[in-house]
Formats: sequence, structure tokens, C-alpha cells
Amino acid sequence: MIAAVRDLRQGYGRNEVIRGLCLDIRPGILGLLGPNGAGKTTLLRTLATAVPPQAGSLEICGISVNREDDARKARRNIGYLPQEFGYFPSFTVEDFVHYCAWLRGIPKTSAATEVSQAISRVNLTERRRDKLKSLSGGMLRRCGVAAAIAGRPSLLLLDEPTVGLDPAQRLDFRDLLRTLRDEGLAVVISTHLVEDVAAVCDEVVVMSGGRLVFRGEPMELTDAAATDAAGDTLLERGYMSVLARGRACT
Amino acid sequence: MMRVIWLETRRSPLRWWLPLFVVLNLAILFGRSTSWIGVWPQASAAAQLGGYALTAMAGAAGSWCAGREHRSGTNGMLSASWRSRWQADFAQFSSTVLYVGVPYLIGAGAAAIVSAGEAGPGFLWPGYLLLGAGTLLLSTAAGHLAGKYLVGKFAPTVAIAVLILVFGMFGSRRLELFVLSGMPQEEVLAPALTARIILALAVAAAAVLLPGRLSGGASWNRLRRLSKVTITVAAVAGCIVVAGAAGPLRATRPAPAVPLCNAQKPRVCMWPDHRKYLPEIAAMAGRLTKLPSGLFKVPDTFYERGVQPNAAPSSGFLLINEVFSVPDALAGDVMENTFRACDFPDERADDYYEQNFSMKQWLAVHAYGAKFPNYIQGGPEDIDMAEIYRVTRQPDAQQAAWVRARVAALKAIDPGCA
Repeated sequence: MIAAVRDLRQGYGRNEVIRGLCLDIRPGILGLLGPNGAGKTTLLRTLATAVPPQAGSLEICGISVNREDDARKARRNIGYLPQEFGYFPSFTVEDFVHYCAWLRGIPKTSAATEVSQAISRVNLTERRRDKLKSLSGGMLRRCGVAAAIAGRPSLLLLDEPTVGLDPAQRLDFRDLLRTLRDEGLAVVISTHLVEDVAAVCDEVVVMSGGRLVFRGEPMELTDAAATDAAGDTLLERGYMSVLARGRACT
Repeated sequence: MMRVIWLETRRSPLRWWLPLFVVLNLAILFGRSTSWIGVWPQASAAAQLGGYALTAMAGAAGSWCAGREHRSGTNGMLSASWRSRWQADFAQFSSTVLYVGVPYLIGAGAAAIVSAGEAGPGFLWPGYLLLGAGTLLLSTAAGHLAGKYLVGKFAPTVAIAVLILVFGMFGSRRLELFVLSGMPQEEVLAPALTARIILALAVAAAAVLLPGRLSGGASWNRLRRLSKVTITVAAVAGCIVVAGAAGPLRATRPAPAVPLCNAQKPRVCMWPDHRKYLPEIAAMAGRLTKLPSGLFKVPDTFYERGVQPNAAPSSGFLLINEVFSVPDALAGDVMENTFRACDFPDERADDYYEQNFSMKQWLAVHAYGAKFPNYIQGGPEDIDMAEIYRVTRQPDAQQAAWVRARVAALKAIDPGCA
């Protein structure tokens, strides 16, 4: 097990966003689906240890994350691409990934190799000397992914990584995710794009109102589709069905 | 850490501003005045002042660079990084310091190079250079703090305004964060300088160590965060108090063990730092010996202020960057050596002053020689300066007659005064 979340409660002030969530994360690709405000980004930020849990427990790579020092130890194993991916426009791709590798504490001796490999895996080698301000939105996302995967983290958290990618880039990106899965990484992807989940995820989690309303394989989500549910594909109908059931329970 | 400092330096937006900073510093160094060239303490103070002129730019640079996190939205990335926040801040702050420090060093280097030929033995005074460096560090750190906490593109403007206000109000008086000139008679006091350097380092440490703004979530340890802020703010406040209470920045320098004197009579003894002025002032003193004989008693030695141990604090000629005030002072010494100073409580005072001042001015014009500057044309009411200049161009006999008439007038006021 790469990460374990038990009875997690999280929020901002009095606004509780995640309400008693339990989740085990194993090697493979876990898709995180849910409507806006379901708590997906908050869950990823908590898993990234950017914010402490308000209640409950969090364990990452065997480290029980209770204090800031634990969080720092755990961060060595985490690659995180935030939803609002910030970047420094005057940095080149190589510089930026180097900088992120330094932030992640990747040792100096291996940093150059790790950075170079990460850039190569997102197919940006030819653009590595280009400044970020000259890249398209899709390339920037790929650069962000390179920054997240540099140093081969055990847990990769990607918050809407396919936003801004064109269809060809999304296909490439799916290939990259499959490769990472084959290398034993645990990848958590938050997305609104159900077809991404169908294409690459080994497991899917649907969140609604800060709770987990479904967990299973994509096929199981398809099976959950009600005949009268909205959606163009079976998976979409399954997603809409579990959401409707989830709302009914809460 | 070094590779990231280098990375930040290579990619800093300040790299485009560096030439402007250098030009600005050199423009202030050489554009304000060049009389400091060839005098080590003056050159040091001038280099320091160039650094002071950069403070507003340094503040703006610091705040712009520190505000990068808000502009680029990298807060999420930083808050989930293995490195502590201060390490990322330190790398960025170091590169900013480098970009404002290099122009300052170039200015100091230029001041040293152009002074070396005339100034003789010695070098730039580290006290002034450290003061300038401290002020520059202080303003860069203040700017960094502004950029760290103020979201928006106006942070540099706020930093500039605050720095101008703070330095304008306190910089030259209570805190004395800069000096305008470096006369050899004064030296920077180590305790006061140390207090200012510590203050600059404390603000720099605060700029780096204070936690950044919280964005979208709680802190891992609120108590620790609050303690950090409290301790840092208290430490900086303490340093401000200590710097303000550390006493004056400069004090009178002890008289030189071996003053610089010329060989001829009358001798002129000066601070060795003013070596470049000795030939000109010795020539002025020499001209005073060529006056119509018997009228005046020229002292054997003219001293620059502060050179003669145990002398009155105001005795001796004072050289402020240029020599134009020296002939007047030499003439004053000659008058004091020749006539007894008198003070009248009645209407005779005006007459006495008029005769005395006219002769002193006549002596000063002689001391200055042919190069007497035209711009010194003013004079007290009732004194006809044009008449005095006209007299100095007459044959010696007529000048002697003019002087004797003034002496006779003094005797008429009070025989004891002439």
C-alpha cells in the first residue's frame, strides 16, 4: 500500500469539504471523479501534505503523517501537479524541472539524469531549452507532469492533468500514465473527463459532497448505470447514476 | 543550494535591469560631483552614497522578485515541497541581493580605480562601504518582505514609497543609514556601524525566514508559525531600537600621528588623506608671504582642521571637497595672527567689522591668486566687494596704501585692536 486515508475530515474554516473519507491507494492508476466542489482537489492537496488533515489519519509510504516533519519526510515520495499549475515564465523547461527537483529534495548527484529523463518521458526534450512563456497550454501541462514525475516518486497526484491537451497529446499522456503504472507507481488523477478514466484507470473513485460514493473498477461503474441516467456512454451513465444515489444517501 | 541560486540568478527578471542599476549607480557617483576623486574617505562616502541611491530600486526589485509566487500561482507547489519555504526564499533573495550588490561593487571599484592615482597610499574605507552595503541589504530585504505579503503588481510601488518615506524621515537623522560626505576629520564608529549591519541582517533574515502567506488552507503548526512571526518581528524591532540607541554613526578622528606638511615656509600641514590638495594650498599660503612687507604677520604654519592635537575644535582651515573655502580661512589665520580680536558692544562694531572683513577679503583674493572664482561675488552689506577686487589688481604701492588706510581706520576705532 502506498497511501492510506482513514476517516479524513478536511475543510476551510467551518466549511467541511471532506467528511470522514477512507481510501487505500495501491500501485496503479486511480481515477478521481466527482462534480465541482466534491472535494477532489482538497483530497489531493491533503494527500500531497500541502495542508494538514483536520481530523483522521494519513499514511504515505509507511510514514504516518501527523506533524509537519512527517509531512516533509513523506513529500520525498510524492509528485504533485496542482490544478492551478503555477510556473515561472522566464524559466526554461529544463530549469523549471530542475527547480522542482530541487524543491522535492532530489539529490544533486542524480538530479541532472532524473530531470533529463522526466523531460524525455513527456516528449519535451526538443523544447527543453525553450522558455515556459513560449509553450502552449498543453506543453505547459506536460512540463508540470515532468516536474511531478522527476525523481520517480511512489505516489503521483495529478489534478486535472489533461486540461488543455489536444486529443493527440491526451493519447500520449495516457501512454505515459500506463508506463508509470507498469513501473509500480501509484497514480491518482482527478478529472472531469470520464473517457480518461475508462482508458487508463485501474480503479475509479467517485466523490460527492465530501464523501466517497463509489469505488471500483471502471467496468463496475459501467455496470452501475441506471437505464434512465443521463450520459452518452455507459461509463457516463454509471457515473451519473452513482452520483444520484450518493446524493440520495446524503 | 548553489545550483538553485545560480538558476535563480540566470533566470531572474533583474538580469535585464542590471545595466540600468549599474548606469544609475555610476551616474550618481560621477554626476553629483567628482571632487571626491583622490581622497579615500570622500571616495568611500561617495561609493556608499551610490549604494544609497540604489535603495529604492533595490526595494522595488526585492518586492517584484518575491511577488513571483503570487503572480505565477506556485504557492501549491511550494507548500507541498520537501524543501522548507525559507530555502526557496533564500535562493531567490540571494539572487536579488546579487543583482543589487554587483552595481554597488562596480561603483566602489570605479571609485577606487579613479582615486588610486591621486590619493596615494591607502584604500577605500571599509566603514563607509559596509554602511552602504548594509543600507542596500536592508532595503532589498524590506522590498522582499513587501513582495512576500502584498499580493498584486503594486507591491514594488508600495516598497519604493515606504523606503523613501522611512529613509527620508529617519535615514539621515535618527538612524543615520547614510552619509553625504566623508571628511577625513571624521571616522565611522564600529559599534554604531555594527548595530546597523546587524539590523540589516535581521531584516534580511526576517525576509527569508518569515513564513509566506497562507493560501487556501491551514498551517501544519499554527503555534509554531505564530511563534516564528512573533520572535522574528520582536528581533527586528529590538535591532531597530539598538541601532537607534547605538549613538552617533561618526566621531571626530584623532589627529594624524604624522600630518602631511610641505617643506617650504609657511608650512601647510594637512590630513594625509588630502594629499592631492597640498600643492594648491601650499601655493596659496606662499602667495600670502608675497604681500607688501610689514603689513601682516603670516603664521609659520597653517593647519587643517583636526590636524593640530589639542587645538580648539574650530581652529584650522576646513576643506569641504573643494579648496574655495581655504583662502578665506588662511586669510582669517593671518588676520588673527596680525590683529587682536576686538568685540564692541556699540555702533563701533559695524565699522570694525567692515574694515576687518575688507582686509581679510583682500588677503583671501591674494591667496587664491589669479584663479579667484568669479562666482564668489557676494559679501556682507556695506562692503564693496568690487572695490576690493579692483584694489588687488593695482600696483603693490597702491595696495599697501589701501591696507594702511584700513589699519588706520581700525586704530581710529580702538588703537588696541590694530
